[in-house]
Amino acid sequence: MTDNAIALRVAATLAFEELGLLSVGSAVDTPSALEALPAAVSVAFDGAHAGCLTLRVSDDVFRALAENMLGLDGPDAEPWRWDALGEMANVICGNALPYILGTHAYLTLAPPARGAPPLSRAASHVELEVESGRARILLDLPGERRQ
Amino acid sequence: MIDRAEAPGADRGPLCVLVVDDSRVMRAMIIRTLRLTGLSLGTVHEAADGLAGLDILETEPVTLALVDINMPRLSGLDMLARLGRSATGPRVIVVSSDGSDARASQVLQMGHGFLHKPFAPEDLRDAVLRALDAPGR
Repeated sequence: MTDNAIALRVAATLAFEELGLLSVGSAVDTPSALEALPAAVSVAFDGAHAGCLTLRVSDDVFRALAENMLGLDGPDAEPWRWDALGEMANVICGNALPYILGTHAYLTLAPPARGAPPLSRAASHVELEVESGRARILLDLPGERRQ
Repeated sequence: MIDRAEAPGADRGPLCVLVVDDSRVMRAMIIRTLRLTGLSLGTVHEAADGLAGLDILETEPVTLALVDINMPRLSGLDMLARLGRSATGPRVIVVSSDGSDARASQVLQMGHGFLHKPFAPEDLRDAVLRALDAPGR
């Protein structure tokens, strides 16, 4: 596992366990098929560095987040589920980037957006067991350091 | 059940709170967590960005504002810069997932509290009590 992947794993574990109240297990070596991780949000960031973090989760994790964070379930919970997933991506991004880019870099995070943008081949990634589901976190840092 | 008379901060009277965050999940979580801490809460206002937050502060007697940084229209830091810091203004805690030392230092130098997401209920309670006890009012 690369240093970036370790940082993503630590930040994601913190977010899922502290914010989402979900237990995180091992990192998995065999990535899930994309259709097994249907809910995706991304958080773009800019500033000292530019890039994007994408979070993909399985349906059970997607549903559990809003239920655990707000006690919401059923059809009315659908819009909240996307908000909950977006906040999870935001928190993972905010916690992982200082480890990867240094703690003195000012970054501005954009609001989470549904979907996953195309990634460069150099994107870092980690996939984790979350309860009985999965979550994959990808970090794309295509830009050079800005002066 | 927490006895309201013994709730932390109860001697100050109910807090009039403003939560400014573009994520309604985070606003709901912060309010839910505030209630769990046993702090004595009065009216709780919500705003989805800095401009909406300033509008509320113009008309409501807010004693405590919890403010996100990255928001559309007007960021939390720009909102606080416009608000300034006065003896009669609200105590402010910036709540952000930005874990960089640079950001935390920037907020602390502005004279506000800083709470890093994710946080435990006791972290929020402690941050609120610190903000209320901080000198300057």
